[in-house]
Amino acid sequence: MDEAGLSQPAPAVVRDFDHHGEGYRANPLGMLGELRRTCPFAWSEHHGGFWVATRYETVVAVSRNLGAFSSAEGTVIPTVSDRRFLPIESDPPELQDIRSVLVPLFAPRPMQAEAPRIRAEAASLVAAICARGEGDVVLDLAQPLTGRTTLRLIGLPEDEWHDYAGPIHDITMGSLPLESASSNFEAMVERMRAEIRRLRSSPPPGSVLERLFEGEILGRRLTEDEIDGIVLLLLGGGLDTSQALIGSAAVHLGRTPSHRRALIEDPSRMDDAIEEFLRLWPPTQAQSRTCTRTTELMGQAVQPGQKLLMSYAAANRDPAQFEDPETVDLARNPNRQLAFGIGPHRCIGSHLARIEIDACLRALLDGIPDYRLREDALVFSRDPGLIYGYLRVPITV
Amino acid sequence: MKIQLDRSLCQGHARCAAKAPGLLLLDEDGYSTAFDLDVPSGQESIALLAARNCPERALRVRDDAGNPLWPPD
Repeated sequence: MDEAGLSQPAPAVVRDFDHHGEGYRANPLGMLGELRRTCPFAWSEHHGGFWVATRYETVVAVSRNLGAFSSAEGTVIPTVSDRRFLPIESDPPELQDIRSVLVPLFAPRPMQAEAPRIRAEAASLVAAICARGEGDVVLDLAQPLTGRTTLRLIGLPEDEWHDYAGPIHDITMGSLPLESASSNFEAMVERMRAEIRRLRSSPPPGSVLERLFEGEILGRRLTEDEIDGIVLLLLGGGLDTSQALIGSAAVHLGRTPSHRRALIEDPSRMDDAIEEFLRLWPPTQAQSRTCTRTTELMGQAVQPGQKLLMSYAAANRDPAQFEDPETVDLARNPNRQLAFGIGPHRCIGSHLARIEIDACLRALLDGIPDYRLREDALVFSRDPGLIYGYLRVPITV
Repeated sequence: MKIQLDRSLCQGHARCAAKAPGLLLLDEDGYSTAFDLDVPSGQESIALLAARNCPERALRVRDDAGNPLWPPD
């Protein structure tokens, strides 16, 4: 057996899987379910070749094995930008050092302190939809709420949220061809960099930027490039993900009056319900790693240099972990869903995300309990392999 | 009933505190502080449910006789 032969995955595990292809866009959940049932650890020849893990236990094992699976070469397949996003695209010891700067800023307590303002803003956005008699859950509620909140917490001008959100959504939801989306994205990054440099001498008090300017990792101050990378990730994570889940949840509740009634009659059920929505429609469908050390997974030898895609969306419907995984069970409990990832890269913004999602769904159900979905005008993501969600969720009052 | 935290596994998801507020407490950064918690009588079921909601399975639960209740492995 020659050396090259050793590194080739067995033909039996090769599957025609492309999370950016038309088949995935048309039926992402069906495609993932089929893969998990028939070949739970598969090799795809698309995008230069990569492993696809669809079982819960495999996703957990890979997420925790930082010694064999690196994030430093990117966490999406294929790469959409040469910019470095931090700390998501880092390994130890940089990873833990950057996280120790950020985790306290986004911890449950400081985020709870933001909750009253977030709830008030959600209520006022819903009141505006009410007054017009129609509106869009994504465009008029979820995006402005998460946009303003994210920009304010970072310390960037919150009225300019759309200038940041637009170019990010154009890439992650595929609303523009990649070429023009990329040039808009690059222009946004340059604007962000200029703004950060402008604020260097007088960052807004209490802002993330203020803390980053003083932040230390590896026994030294954060560099300008590292601060850019951190803010870029906060923008991507803050502007993209919660808004997508809010849209998916609003579509489900619009189609399922019994669930809508259950949450209106007993708002204390919202916490479990949100976990269930996160399980079923994780905005970040998958993340990738690069193997650095030969590792056996599901009977296959994963070799250094090979990419591996972990599908949170597939793991979240793994029947080995979740009973009746395709059923929307508002009372599912426990629910160890993986929408925020697991292990040392767990999403730092998860506490903020849950508050934003809760604020928007409660404001919607309080303010417009009988909202009607305009099914004919729903627009689903054009590239759900990156972010699963809706570009438009129009409703009438 | 006793709950013991494996701090090397806790990643600060804070689901334990969401499920058992006032019982399973967090530090300033949002990590569990249930290093060796005696669960008050009457709160066993909520404590067990909170532990079972930890995605990292960082909370071990034992009954008064020391028998492991969670995680199963």
